[in-house]
Amino acid sequence: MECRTCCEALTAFLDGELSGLERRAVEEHLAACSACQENCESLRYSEHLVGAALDEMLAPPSWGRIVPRLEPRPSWLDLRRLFGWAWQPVFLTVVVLAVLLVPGFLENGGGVEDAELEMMLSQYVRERDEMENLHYGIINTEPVGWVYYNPYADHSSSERRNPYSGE
Amino acid sequence: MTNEDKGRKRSSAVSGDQLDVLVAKAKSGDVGAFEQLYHLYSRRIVNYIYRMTGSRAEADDLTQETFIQAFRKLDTLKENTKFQSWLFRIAQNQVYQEYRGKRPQIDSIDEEDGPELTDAQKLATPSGTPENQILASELRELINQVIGELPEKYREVFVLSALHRFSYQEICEIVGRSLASVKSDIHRARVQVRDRIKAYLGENYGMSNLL
Repeated sequence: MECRTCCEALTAFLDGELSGLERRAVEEHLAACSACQENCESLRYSEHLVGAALDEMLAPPSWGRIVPRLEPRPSWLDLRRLFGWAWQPVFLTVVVLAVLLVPGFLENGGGVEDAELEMMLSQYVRERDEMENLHYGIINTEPVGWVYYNPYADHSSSERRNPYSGE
Repeated sequence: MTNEDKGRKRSSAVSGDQLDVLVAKAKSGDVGAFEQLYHLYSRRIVNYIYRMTGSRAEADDLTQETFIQAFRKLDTLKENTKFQSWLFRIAQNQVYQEYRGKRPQIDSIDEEDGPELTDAQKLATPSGTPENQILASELRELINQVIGELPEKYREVFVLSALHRFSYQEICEIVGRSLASVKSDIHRARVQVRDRIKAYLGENYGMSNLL
């Protein structure tokens, strides 16, 4: 180990932060190098002086000064914290609105205008059908017996049999 | 000093299991548990912030802000046993927001209306000649000044290592940098501080019982 490498590692060596291998290498070098050994002792001495000078002399502030500033963790149920002095009227308003609105909502299935809407829709369908009948020339809107040509039926007769004649 | 020595020197007031239980209780909203955490770590936090800002008043305010933020965001802590590193990370962010790029003007701790020295401090005061006591006082001031003059990225890792005895891995987690970067900066900071102290003490460098 070179002197420069040893000097760089001296602080960590004194603090016990070197691995076993590194510590042994430094110890071997210190045993063989008086300059590095003197450097090590010099650092050790200054560490001693600094430790004595830096003792914890200041007293902390008293706990009584901290307690009033420790706010409890907010809770969504803590209405007083959320609304302050107005929590009571806010809470009562919410309760009254809930009592008035929720039952009506449940009865009507979600809307009070469904009947009117249904009426408008049926009127629209009726008018649409009338318009279509006029357009296609359909006068008789009575239902017919059959509406499509059945290729398997017996069409040999020249006259059609009226299925509604009762014969 | 090995990592084990560091841990013993740092604090053995609470074990990993006890810390886990305390943090879990605090997460569920137990203010009493959080108070215990406060008493365990507030001194370290205020002294860390003081070393970073140089102002006792700011250290006081930012310590309060740190713990208030910690209480609000406790749910974001995934591993309860890493509470201390996480807390220091919050403290560091508080310092960054207030003092980014500024060098601290260290308030003197030796004022008459300053905090009362602990018994350990009184015992640590060297007995002997008044000259030695004056030298010790001046040396303490010099060390504070030298640390305050370090570049910010050196100062933060130096304080965490020298004062709070965090391992390098813990320091990486707090400052959010790589192990190589942290190791290099700690070394450079230590060398700078050593050189300044050596220059000041001259031939007295190496004397025992200076501090």
